[in-house]
Amino acid sequence: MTGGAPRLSAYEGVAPPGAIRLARYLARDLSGKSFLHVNSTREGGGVAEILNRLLPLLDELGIRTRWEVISGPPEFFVATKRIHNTLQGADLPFTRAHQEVFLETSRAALRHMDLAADLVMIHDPQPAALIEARASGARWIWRCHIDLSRPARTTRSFLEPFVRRYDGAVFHLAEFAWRLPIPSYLIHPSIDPLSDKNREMNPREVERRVSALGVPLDRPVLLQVSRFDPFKDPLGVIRAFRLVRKVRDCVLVLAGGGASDDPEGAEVLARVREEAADDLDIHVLLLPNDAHLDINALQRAAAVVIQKSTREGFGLTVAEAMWKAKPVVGGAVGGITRQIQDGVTGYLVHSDEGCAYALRRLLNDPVEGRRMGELGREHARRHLLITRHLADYLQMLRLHAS
Amino acid sequence: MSIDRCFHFWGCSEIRESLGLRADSLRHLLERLESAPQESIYYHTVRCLLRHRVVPTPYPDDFSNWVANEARDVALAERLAFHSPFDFPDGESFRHHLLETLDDHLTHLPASTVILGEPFYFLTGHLVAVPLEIVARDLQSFRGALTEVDDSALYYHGVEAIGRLGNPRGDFAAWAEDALGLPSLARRIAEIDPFVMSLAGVRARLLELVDRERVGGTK
Repeated sequence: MTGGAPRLSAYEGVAPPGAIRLARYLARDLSGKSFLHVNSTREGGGVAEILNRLLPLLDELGIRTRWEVISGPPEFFVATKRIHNTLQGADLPFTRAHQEVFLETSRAALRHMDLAADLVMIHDPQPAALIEARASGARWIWRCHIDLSRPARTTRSFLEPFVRRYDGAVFHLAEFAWRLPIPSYLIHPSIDPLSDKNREMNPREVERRVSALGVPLDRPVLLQVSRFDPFKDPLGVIRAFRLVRKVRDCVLVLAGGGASDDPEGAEVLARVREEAADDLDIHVLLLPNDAHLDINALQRAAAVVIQKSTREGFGLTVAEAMWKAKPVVGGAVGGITRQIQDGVTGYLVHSDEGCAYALRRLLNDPVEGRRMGELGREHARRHLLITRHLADYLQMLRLHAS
Repeated sequence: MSIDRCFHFWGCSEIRESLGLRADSLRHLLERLESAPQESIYYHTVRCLLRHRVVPTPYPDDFSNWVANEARDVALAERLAFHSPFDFPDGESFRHHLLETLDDHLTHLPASTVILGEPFYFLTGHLVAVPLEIVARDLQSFRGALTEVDDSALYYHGVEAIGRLGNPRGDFAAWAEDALGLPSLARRIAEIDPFVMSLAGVRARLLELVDRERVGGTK
């Protein structure tokens, strides 16, 4: 676990006043309940990051938590990536071969996974078919972290029968929720303000780390941190940057890592590197999954943080940047619209030109950028920290396992 | 048997649930409001105070903000925003008011008004209240508690108490009057309007009133 797992009391003074006390009292009647989480990777991506930090806090409150990971051959992750992309609207075939490897791997996983718990939370489509193993009396919740507002019909038809067998589903946003015969709850994800990625960092450490990555600090740094994924639109960020640079000297950093369940990342990274190849002001950084402190430093060094997604489950890099009091320019999609208050904590944009214009505005008026950043930090404190997420999960336990 | 004259603070937490209902136009909003569950209307007009933004939105409720931002009809947003459910004897009367306002407004609009923004999604909330074991026995300890509790406690005692718990004065004002014997302070507290300020603003106003009372009484 990155940076060790802090005790709940460590969040006093960081979380909003009273939030820790509220969590402790919400947990009072739940002591001894078992809460199992299942996803498809222990590192890389927002789900693993949240589970790594949230589960110890639940444990501390007396909840017996476990975390299982579904494993499988590379073909399984090709199939689940295809499910992921087509559920988010990509126009790609989801074939019978994809379906068969998905089902076969799920059946194989059932033979060795211990799925007994008072409440089982299955994260995302990859382990969704494990619902076959639900024991009588157990409550199962499907927690979906991606944008399901425009799913490919074939993929939805394949997945939905599994989802309907759960006791409830959790989506990030109302527009992602399918009409189902089960309750559809809405829970935003969160960031941990005490993790290596978000903890306070002194300016000298920021400078040292950023310089070690080869990023110059003599000009304003524009930064996008994300997986190399077409939906994060890294090529659109480069186009917007090139528009801005015509009028303002600045540097672009595209930083991201890979995830073990994302075989497509290398392809996208190659395209981005090709596009940026001859441009010394564009720094493409492929960081290891544990480079949390480097990401922290990059976000703190940035003048403006960008998250120019064209589809987005939630986009926690926005919350991370807001927590560091940075103005954020984000694509007006999915959860980004719930994080950025347009014109207050940053700007929501719909095009390369819109992104470039928002960046120009912020580079031209750093005082306004700082004011927006401070408001963003307060917004993150109230709505996007792990302590709020903890209360939400305790509520789920109260609703379904008490 | 002695009467407990202490104020016991409670906090609350809410999980939101999507009802799978959406409105794509103002006329559609009107139709949906005719049959939407009362709890959903309450969620969008009262519980929304629990989810306030760092810089308050122009209007206090979800309907008005959607009408202004997505349907781009500011005049209608203003009309919808002015009254809260607390201005009506019950939820059905408030629903009737919303329907009448929308209907009246729509009679002056072309039938084919199109909305280019995002749809309105009807939600509801599951609220759980828990005792925080913070107790005030007098104004001094009440002041201390106000600085300690989270925003949800302010919402629970100042808003939910009126909307769902049958205490039209709100818990804070009722306690000031009934337990402390301070009707003037109680009246001032009851005048705090959560529909025009954030919960942080409610907290600041409460602290200000308590401080004034401790110095020389609220006039």
